[in-house]
Amino acid sequence: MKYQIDHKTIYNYIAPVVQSHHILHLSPRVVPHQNILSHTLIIDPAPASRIDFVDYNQNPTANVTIEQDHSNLQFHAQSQIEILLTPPEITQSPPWEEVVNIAAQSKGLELLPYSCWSLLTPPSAEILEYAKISFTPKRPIHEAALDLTARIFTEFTFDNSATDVSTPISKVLKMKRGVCQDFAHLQIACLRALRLPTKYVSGYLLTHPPEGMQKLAGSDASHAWLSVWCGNDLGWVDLDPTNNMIPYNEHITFAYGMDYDDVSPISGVLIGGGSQTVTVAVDVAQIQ
Amino acid sequence: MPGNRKKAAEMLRGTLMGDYSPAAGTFDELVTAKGVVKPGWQPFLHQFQPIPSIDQNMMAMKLNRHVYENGLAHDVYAETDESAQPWGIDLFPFIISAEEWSWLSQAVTQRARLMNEVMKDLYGNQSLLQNGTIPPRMIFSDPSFLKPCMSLNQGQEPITFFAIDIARDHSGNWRAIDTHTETTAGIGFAIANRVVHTKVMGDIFEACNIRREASFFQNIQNTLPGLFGADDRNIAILTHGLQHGNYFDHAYLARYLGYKLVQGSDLRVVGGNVYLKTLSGLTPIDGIIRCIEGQRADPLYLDPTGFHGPANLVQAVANKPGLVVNALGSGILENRGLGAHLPELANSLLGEALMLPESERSWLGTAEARNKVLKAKAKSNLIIRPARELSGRPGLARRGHRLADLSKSERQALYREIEMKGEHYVTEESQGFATSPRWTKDGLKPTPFAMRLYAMRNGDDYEMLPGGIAMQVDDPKTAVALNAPDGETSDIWVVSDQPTPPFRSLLKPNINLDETDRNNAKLPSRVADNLYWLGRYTERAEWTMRLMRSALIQTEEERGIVPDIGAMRNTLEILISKGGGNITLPQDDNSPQQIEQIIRILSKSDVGSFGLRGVLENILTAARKIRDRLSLEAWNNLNSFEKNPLWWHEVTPLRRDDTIDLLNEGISTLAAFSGITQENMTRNYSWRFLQIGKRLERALDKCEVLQTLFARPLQKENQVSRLFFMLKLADSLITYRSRYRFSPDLTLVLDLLICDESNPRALGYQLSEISNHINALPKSSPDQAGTEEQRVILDAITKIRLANPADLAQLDIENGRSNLNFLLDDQLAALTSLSELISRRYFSLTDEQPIRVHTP
Repeated sequence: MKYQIDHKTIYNYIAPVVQSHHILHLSPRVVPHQNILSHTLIIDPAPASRIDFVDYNQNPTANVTIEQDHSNLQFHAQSQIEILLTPPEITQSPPWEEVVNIAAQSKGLELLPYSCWSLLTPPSAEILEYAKISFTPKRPIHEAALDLTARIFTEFTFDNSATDVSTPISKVLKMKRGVCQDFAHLQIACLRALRLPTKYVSGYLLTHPPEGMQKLAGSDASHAWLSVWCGNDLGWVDLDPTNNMIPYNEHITFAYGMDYDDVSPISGVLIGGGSQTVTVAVDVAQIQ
Repeated sequence: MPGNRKKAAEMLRGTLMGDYSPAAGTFDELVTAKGVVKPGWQPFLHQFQPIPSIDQNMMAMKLNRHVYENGLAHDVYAETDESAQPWGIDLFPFIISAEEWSWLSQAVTQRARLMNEVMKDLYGNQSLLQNGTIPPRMIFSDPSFLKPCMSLNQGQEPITFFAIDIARDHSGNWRAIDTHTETTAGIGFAIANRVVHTKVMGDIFEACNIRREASFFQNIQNTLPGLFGADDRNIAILTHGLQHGNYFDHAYLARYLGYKLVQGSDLRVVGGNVYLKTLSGLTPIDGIIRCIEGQRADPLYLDPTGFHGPANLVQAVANKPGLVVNALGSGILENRGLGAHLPELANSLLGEALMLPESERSWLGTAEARNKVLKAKAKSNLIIRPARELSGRPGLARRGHRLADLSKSERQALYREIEMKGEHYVTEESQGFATSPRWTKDGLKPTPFAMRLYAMRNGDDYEMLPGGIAMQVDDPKTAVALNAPDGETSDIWVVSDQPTPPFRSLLKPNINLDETDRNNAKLPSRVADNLYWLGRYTERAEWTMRLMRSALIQTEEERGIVPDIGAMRNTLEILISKGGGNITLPQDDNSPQQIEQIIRILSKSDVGSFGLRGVLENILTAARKIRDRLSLEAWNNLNSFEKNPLWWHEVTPLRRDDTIDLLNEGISTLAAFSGITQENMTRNYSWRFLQIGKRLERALDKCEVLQTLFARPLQKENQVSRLFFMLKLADSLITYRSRYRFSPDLTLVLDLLICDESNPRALGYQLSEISNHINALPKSSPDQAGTEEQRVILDAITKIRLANPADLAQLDIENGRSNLNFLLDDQLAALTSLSELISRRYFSLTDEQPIRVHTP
């Protein structure tokens, strides 16, 4: 499967921005199950400095500073990615407690850092209680994790007006509403509350228009899901609580992190600007 | 006689030492178990004991006064008194003998070297985590571990400033209780303590051959420029600003070392370099002493809500490793869970045995450790507390929870918390505290103590500050850290084993005269902004007080002149309307009583920034923000408003005479402040901004009152009394009388108060001063065209010079004075726009708070 991903973000400011600094995670990371066929990132106005580097999560990152006065700013990323994944076949997995133990005893830093909670995925009594409904004693980890994914999918309503990037998961859990980031954070918090190694995954999803309808240009969005470590045999397994599925050939991975703060596509600090509007247009299309 | 003297001395010893009896089985600093004074203390006692107790009391009082005056008690800076930690210095120092110190120095510097190596590994190849010497979950669960700072500080020694809290147990063995690597951890308090304590105890200090601290700070001054590859003048101390309780510490350190004190909003990263926003533009900063938490030092790379440092600081460090000390992320070394691993780390990293053991404790990040707590008896002495302290302030370590003190439900809640977040907690038992002598009026008392010591990197090793802060530990049975919320401190005196070199003043920087910034063009914009407003507020306060006083005095008939109640009322109304509060005034019945009522309203808190309390609060806030720029006299002067409770009563309950006295005192205080700034401030930009603020405010007040009193039609019979009132307000009655010797005439009064540029109270004088100052500012233009603000002031002053007082006094057909009205309208507009222009040109960068953006 080959995809073309077109991600355009335009900021409009009421007053001129004197200086802006940005950290961008708009470029795809190297993962075993994907080929990067091409990638470009265009920034307008041209930045005074642009430093491309690989961050501590091994994600390609750009640090961009714009020094000239500007009232709008545009980031345009285009990538072509090939997915090489075969459909997952999982029949057996170890009890989740065993996975917790293996992770706790593990050497090296592949697993342990991801079993710790982050600022956006803190544990709480409510989170732990919510997790334990699926994680009953000795239940195979994969089954339990899928059950949790399914519960979040059915019990929560997708609502992009209910939350914003600063809404804590405790509130998401109370409201039972949110967007993909909230659901990913919530499930990650549940799994990390049990001390299971879990990654936040940021990327894109191929969406399908309702039957008989044309797909609207720019109607896609960046997507978020998670990856949980299921023991030495299975390794990392992706889960998408927003769509109740195991991602494989329609989920395109761009970055891994502890949470959204690690991999936010565009974050920035600016001086001036006053109030602002932002327009995001994402298109994910299958190509030959 | 000698015999008598000896007898007297023995009696005195009786009073001082009489009741001094440390608890049996508890190590004491002063006396052995048999009650014999230890050798380290003998020279000191030899000096101190002969001082009559009445003099000792005097010394203690003097010491307290100095503590207060030097602003050591932190409420001097705090906006409110909430959570203020009091601060006191004991008359008695804490004496450490040369031998003891020699051991402590080695033990503490070993710790510093060890922590430095641990930090390099954690932010480098992480072999200690890879091989499990340090549990990875301990590090990755601690928000002080800043992943974006991995491999950032290549080739640099991350820990420059190191501090440690230590205590002795009951048997006298030292143990380490906390590490401070995140900030400078109150070293400013240590210097301030020494400075203040030796003001009172200086002679004894000299006589006892005690090591001085100055050379330590001299070494800082000599070391840092080389370390940063920076000029002295481009080194900055990065503080949170005055809203933070430790601002005193940072301000004191900055003043002592002669470095710039800056806040995050003063700095900008451009092209990967850090700059300070100053009056003359951006000036480079090549070295930053970090007194803020690393997490909040860069809103771009680190905590997105942390604006205590400039955005992109992490990139600037990547560009110039070593730019920030201590290195970003050093807070991780404060994690209390590390303690248990230190012996092994000392072996593997230094090849040495750890000299100073850590308090025995276990980190609750493992299931095993958590189970131990869960299985502990309910009456257990185990104390559970956070693995990270966060506060670097001496004495404010948070108290833990002792299992035995908890109710059943509290204990259950704690168990649940540990089960969930054990990684954030440690557990230990109190190991007790040895005692040291504290001086009281009734003699010495043995008191449990712990202390904070400081070291700084110098070359390949660390150098100790020969001194530090000893503190009285509060509730020693349950305390496990430096718990001293009462701020009872002692200055630590380290006995020298060789003659101390003569005192050298620290304030002798190597100045290159060609490069000195006499004009202060590098003044941070934020400071200029605050000076300008301090100028405005002090003038506004003086004007408010003058109005109130004149009105109060003149409500009584004076020399046959009937007071003009209407004029007073109109003038006071200006203040009330400018304050913007929703105030109901008494009915205008032409009675003197209504004036007193209005004055009472003006002294209330809800009347706005032009009321008495509002303006005094503004003065204190502005002054606090630039506390480090004010002389002690200037500060004490303004701070006297804070100290006198009469200014802060909700309703001045004073009789008329007392109110007048209070106002007189206030006006004198402000006059003294004005005099101090006039006499003691260098004529640089700081002074000019203070003056511009003052002159501009005075000009505004003058315009408003003249317009209110004279531009509108007048009752003829009131004119004389109104002119008297005006002259008194303007402090120009004597000038007028000596010049004209007859009763006031409007034309002459207007000439004296508007046009006369030689009268310091006249509008013309203010404008000509403002003009001079503006022309001297760094962004003013020397050509005729000038900048916008130069043109505005030129226009205003020219209008005054062309005005004819007789025309101004001329009544128009509607019985008003439209000439006067127009002129003053023009002036008010010019002054308002001038204030905006100056703010925009010189301060505006500080107003633009950075905003954090995110993609949705």
